[in-house]
Amino acid sequence: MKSQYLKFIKKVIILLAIMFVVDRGLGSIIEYYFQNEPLGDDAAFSHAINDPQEDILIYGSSRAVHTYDPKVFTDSLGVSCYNCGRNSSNVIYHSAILPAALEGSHKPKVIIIDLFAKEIAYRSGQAGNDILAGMILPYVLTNQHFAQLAQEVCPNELKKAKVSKLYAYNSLILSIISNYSRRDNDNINGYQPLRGSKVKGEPDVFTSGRDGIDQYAREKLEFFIKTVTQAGIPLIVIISPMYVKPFEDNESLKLTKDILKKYNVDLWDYSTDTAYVKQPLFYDVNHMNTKGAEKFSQEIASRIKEMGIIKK
Amino acid sequence: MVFNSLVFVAFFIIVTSLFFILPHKYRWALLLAASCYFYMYFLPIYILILGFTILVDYVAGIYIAKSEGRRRRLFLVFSLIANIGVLAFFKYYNFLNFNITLLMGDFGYKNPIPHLDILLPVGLSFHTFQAMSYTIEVYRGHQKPEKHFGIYALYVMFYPQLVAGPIERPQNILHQFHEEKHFDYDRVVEGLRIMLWGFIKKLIVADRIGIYVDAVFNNAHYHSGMSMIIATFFFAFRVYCDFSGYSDIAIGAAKVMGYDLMTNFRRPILVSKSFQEMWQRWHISLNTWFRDYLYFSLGGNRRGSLMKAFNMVFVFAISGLWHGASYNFILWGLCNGVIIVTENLLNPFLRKVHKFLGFTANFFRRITVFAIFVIPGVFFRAANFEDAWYIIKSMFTLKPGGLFRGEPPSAFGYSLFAVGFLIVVEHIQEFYPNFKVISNDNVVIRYTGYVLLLTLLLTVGVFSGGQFIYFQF
Repeated sequence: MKSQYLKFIKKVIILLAIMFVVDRGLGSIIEYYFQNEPLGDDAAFSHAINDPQEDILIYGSSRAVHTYDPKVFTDSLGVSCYNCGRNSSNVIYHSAILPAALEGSHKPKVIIIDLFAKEIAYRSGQAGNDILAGMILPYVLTNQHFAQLAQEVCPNELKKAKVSKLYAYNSLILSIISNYSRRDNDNINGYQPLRGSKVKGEPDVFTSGRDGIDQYAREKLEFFIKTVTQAGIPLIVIISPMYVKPFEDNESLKLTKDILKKYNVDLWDYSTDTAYVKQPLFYDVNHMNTKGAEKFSQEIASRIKEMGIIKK
Repeated sequence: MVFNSLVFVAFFIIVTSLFFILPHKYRWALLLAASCYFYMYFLPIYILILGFTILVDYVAGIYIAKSEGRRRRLFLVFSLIANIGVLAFFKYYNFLNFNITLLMGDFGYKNPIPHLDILLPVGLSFHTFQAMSYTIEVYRGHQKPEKHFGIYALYVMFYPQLVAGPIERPQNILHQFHEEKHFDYDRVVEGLRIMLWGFIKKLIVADRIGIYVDAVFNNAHYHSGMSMIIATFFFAFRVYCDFSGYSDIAIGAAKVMGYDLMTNFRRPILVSKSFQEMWQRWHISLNTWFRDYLYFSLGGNRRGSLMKAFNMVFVFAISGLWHGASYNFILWGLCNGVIIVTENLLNPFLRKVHKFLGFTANFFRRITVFAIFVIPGVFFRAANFEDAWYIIKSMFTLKPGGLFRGEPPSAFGYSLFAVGFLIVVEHIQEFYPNFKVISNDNVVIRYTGYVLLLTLLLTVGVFSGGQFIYFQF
């Protein structure tokens, strides 16, 4: 029987050794192709995460991704611009990618962050962490800020990614293949246009952001604001329009305003601005379509110009 | 503790290693302690409920065997009342109370019985049915009563099948706990291979397509009829892979230690050529339980065609209720009962159709059986009757709208891959049993198979899918 034990242990070790080699080898190949994707959303995210060198950098969730067209800013202000936003993200993610923009000799001329009216509200527990883990895991092996963030929000996932390189790129193979085989880029410097409108009827009633405060998100919002202001970079905090009826400040919004006040940063609140809350400008309740995005981007660019925020 | 967690992997390695290190006479104690820990990982206090029914059934088993006549029957009834009573209280109390409230409300009365916030003990229906099969078999004289309390407790609590089956019969498993097990390389490897396939079904297929299914079913009003049709088909694959994946992991884990559990699924999807065959291949341990202890007790098919049809529909409806305390589950069971009775009635006509279709008959039979099988599944998955009806209506009227591809869009590609992969592998397993990859005699092919499957798990598996669907039953 002892020989059977030894035989089993020997075979397990052989299999683990083969698997380790395959995992590292194949994982490195996927890593290379992932980090060098020429087109598509992942390529834009990688640029925002690794080396954003533009003069205007825009951060935010999908509401930023679909609302701020960098071309409008470049045309209007004569400086380069990149939309570093990401779908399903919040300020926790933005604070992790911010340091890449401030490291090195390059210094952005303006940083814009688009906040949601429930930006620092409770992140629906594990589901919120799972979404965040999915976003940051492909970068934890190559980006120390992401490794740090993973250590804080999903330590078990970080351990798994360290054990298996393939695991870090879980569920990414199809998008890598698709991004290498595509000819047109529907991601323009981080901006993802949404065409048409799914919105029907009267604006919605906005009820989100009443589930308490996510203290970790609150800390990260403060970190973001403090880091940018201390670096002497003009910071513009915006709540872009939503297709909702006017609403009272929720707990998340009140606290956000308190933090901004502490650092003397103004809030440009367009959330229920009547000039924008119109059906033809929206793709859905939370996202503007191309028409709305162009109009709104022009407004923000004009306001920056009028206020002389960019020093040439 | 769920199988698809690192905690379970560590638990399994530790328990299995200790199992082979310890002498035979202490192994039952190890497995019982491990099973208690496994169960208490969910909600510790509920171990007391399990302890209560184990004690009742253990004593009842001994007295049933000792007694004769009316007294013998009395002990069986006592045991059944205790088991069904616990099940009824935890699973059906609020459902029953809700219906009483509705009924009394219709007559203008207020129901004085309070609603209770009861959390259903994990796998209650499974281990209750397994415990009931013991006393029934002792009563029928097919099984000697188990004198060793620890071994009897292990029969009910054996951790691989404690919370989601297979629902074992005492004749199959009890004697195995008395037998001395040795480390057998071939058996251990075979058990691990079965577990690996179970993990693949759960992580690559069930949890992957579950993302799409949940997105559509939870927001049905935003989706088109075509998206709902796809989600309904996907749901059949999901529930099959979730549950049979669990069974495979359970069967494999037990096999590693030398215990043979009964087969619970035999590749029912797109292999079954009739509904009768489908239900002979699907959740075998539960269906045979209902057949042996309910259908036959009602008279089975011995009392004429009409009673046979009634018995079938009734048993399926009860099987639906076993799954959950809601009208949706009862409807699901009723639909399946009616379908199988209709199939029996149409059989002479269907045989002519099959003859007409010639060599293509089997292909069309498999497709048709599966296509009809998935429809009642809407009642199984939908949150309530209104949602289920809305989904069925939208499917049959092809409610307009684009095809939902999931978020991100690559999710749909993974789901199609997962389903295609499952169909291909299961067809090979069913129709070409000699085509082997991970059990191939050639070491290169075997190891290539292992590496491919593990790579697939790491790159495509969903590791945050959570619990198995059948835990709620």
